[in-house]
Amino acid sequence: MFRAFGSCALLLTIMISEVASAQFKLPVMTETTLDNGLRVIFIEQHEVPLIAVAVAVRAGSVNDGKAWGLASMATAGVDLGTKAYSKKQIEEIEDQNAFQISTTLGKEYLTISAEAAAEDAPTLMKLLGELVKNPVYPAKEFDKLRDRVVSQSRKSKESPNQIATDVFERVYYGAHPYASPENGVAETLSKITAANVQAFHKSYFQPQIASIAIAGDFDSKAMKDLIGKEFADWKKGSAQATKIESIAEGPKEAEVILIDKPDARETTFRIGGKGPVSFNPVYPKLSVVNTILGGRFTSLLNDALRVKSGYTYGARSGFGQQRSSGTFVMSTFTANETTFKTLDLALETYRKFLTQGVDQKTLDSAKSYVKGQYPPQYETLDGLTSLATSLFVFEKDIETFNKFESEVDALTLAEANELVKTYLPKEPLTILMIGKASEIAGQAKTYGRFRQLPIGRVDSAAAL
Amino acid sequence: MRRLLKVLITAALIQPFSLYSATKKEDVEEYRLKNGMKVLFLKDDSIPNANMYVFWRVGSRNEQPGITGLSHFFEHMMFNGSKNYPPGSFDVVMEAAGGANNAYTSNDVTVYTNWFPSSAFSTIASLEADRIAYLQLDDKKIESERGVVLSERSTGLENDPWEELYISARSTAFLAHPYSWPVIGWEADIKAWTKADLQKYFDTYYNPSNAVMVIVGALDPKFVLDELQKKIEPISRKNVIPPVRTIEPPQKGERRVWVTKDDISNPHFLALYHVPESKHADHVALNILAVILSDGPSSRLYKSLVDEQRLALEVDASNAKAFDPDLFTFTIVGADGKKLSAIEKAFDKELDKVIQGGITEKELAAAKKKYLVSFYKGMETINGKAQLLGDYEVFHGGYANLFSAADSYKAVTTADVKRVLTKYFSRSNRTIGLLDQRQEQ
Repeated sequence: MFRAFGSCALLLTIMISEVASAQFKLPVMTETTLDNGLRVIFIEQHEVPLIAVAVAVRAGSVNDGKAWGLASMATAGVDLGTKAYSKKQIEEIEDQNAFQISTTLGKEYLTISAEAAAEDAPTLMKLLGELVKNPVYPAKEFDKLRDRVVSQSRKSKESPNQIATDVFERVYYGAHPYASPENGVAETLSKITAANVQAFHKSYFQPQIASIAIAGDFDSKAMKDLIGKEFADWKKGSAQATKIESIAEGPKEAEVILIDKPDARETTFRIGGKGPVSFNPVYPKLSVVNTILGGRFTSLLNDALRVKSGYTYGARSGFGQQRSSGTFVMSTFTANETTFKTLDLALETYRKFLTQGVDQKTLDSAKSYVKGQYPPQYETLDGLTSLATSLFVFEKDIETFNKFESEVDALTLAEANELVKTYLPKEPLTILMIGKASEIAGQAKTYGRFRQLPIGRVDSAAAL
Repeated sequence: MRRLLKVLITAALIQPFSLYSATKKEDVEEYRLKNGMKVLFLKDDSIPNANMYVFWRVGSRNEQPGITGLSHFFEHMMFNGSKNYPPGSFDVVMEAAGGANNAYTSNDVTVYTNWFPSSAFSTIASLEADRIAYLQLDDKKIESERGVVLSERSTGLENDPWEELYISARSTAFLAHPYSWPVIGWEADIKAWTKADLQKYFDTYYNPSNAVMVIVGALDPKFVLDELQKKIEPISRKNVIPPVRTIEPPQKGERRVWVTKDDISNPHFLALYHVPESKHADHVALNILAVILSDGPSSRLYKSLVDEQRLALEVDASNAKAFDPDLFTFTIVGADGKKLSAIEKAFDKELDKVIQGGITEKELAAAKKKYLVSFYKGMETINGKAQLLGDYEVFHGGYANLFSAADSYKAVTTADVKRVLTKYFSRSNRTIGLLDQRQEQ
């Protein structure tokens, strides 16, 4: 079913489409663009009296320059005060209306999102409009927030699993703009000032590179008026989404980076290399391939490292969420004493997958699994606003999602094996270990060009 | 939890106070199978999927010293082979049918969760029935799974600084009751339990009358019932489930416990107060209090300790969801360089202030609205619905109470909150847990 709005003086409405598949239909999405260039996407759902809203701006950590964390702080600080509201007023509006406002930072886009009771849509939209258009970043409040974020960033080292992927990407991307961790590091964060984030806001928070997606219990026509009221005066600028070059090749030699955590009782691994970009044309089929290797409980990695050997609580693999230059990473962890049995088995499992490929029975099972687990991803309102945001940010046609199930169905054994060869990185790979160097460094050196760094190093912007 | 990188669930889930007209009590079909198992079915065609949640009334509260953690280990073993599905095949068959699963164990319950396309219902029912009827404990699997659980325990301790403090403080707060030990169990027990322990556990607690099955999704009710009558109903056991006898004696004075850790970057503060079980009339007022104290930027503790005094990075207050009297928990992560003694003093001052002055009508109204919104959020998905129905059935006196919870929350007054504050939040009823690099003198 297609659906479109009637004519409107303020808004030019076009139609996106609906995502449909044999059994499963996503709700209808309709789209409109304000005169200032802001893309607006509506997804009506009336099961619960809630709305979810996500504002996305196509600027992210790639725009940080050397001030890692700048985009993140500019986004996190929007609720410290605006032209119309003081911090105290914002907090009261949030609390009295039970608004759940959150911000996230990606490499190439940031989001400010909220969930609320449907009846409070006017209050929420007015507040969101202020947060997006008019934050003032009062210096005193900003300094408090920054100091807290710096502490939390330092503290995150206490959880190797939390920092491992960021550390892997810093190593893998090197001098590429994707190396900048989305949420910064303590050293760079501590130097960011209110004036810096205000300047970032001025440069990038502009409607022509932004979208707003609304899902939930509302009437699209009334919502369109409301968005027009709060966002039509957002001033258009000249910012463009940054173009990022892809890394041509993965690592030329096997590298081993050991981050020494002297009190570690276990070793945390990230092993990987060059992967495809997100939502590439064969993305549905690649999700089947990854499901087989490390995307479900009976995957080859989890079966070898957990089910058969008991070395770990879990092992998995996946592709990064990058628009322009992708990664493929395997992750697991194990007790100090089983570090190398685990590493060997992970590498052996991967090599076997690359050389032997996939069999028909496993392929059929993985296809069925991927299709069966697809619909619940779009069952929640914020799942739907995320989908709409992805379409905007990744510049994808709705057909990418529309065809998901039929693409999976069409995957043959020959093609699956071809995808393994084409999209999964061949050795050499980059091996990151966070663990107790005094127990594992000696043997770790034998796996490639070796570097050992103290865990404190992850707080600094120095190269890893 | 059985699956990847998840922590044990102990915290309370959402506690609604109103229900949208989309789902009504009458929409839930209730069956009592002849073997005593209660089944709740809710038809929901919003996506072509369904789920099956099996809530067993067995958790770490049913254990004794020597077999601590066995409920959780047993949860793992339920995936490792039964008569018609040899080790490894449970997951292989389920995933090939498009399904996925998980499970979790808490102090009170063990819950098995299956999520699948509706077309796989019959396969799922067969898998679930076979392990309930004919679980087989394979020696080799027991050993490899022991390694998995040791890794699960270790990764919790490695990645979450709270874990060690939480374990020490709870075991100090409870002298007698089995809530004293961690759900994952003591390391020595994990290494020592035997096949006979597992078999005894299965025979004792996995009587179908000790379970509630909740199914939500795009399914035909007649087909569901037919399948269950064919596959689950014939599984019958006659044993009587032994009750948990121990009642925690009243606490007669404040208890304190220190944990030191060299590499900890910030001080951690924990305060535990004994409070009643979830069925108790004070439960709802305590939930509301938790929101007022720590949920949102203008909540009492956040505003004072994090924002104004800058003593803390994070604060949280939460009420327990439990069969027996349990603990109301406060957690505070201190800001860099702050002393735990200063944090405790500020915490006491805020708590004393609210005990003496009570809460305002405005705070109460905001807390009620937050519960309403989080409840609707729970009801967005078929999985949220299954979880809530099961929770209400086992923790809150029956699933029907889910549909009248609105009234219990609406009825809470500022006087109720003041009363529970006075009743439960005395110094002599609490245990303080402190974690830092060095013990303060």
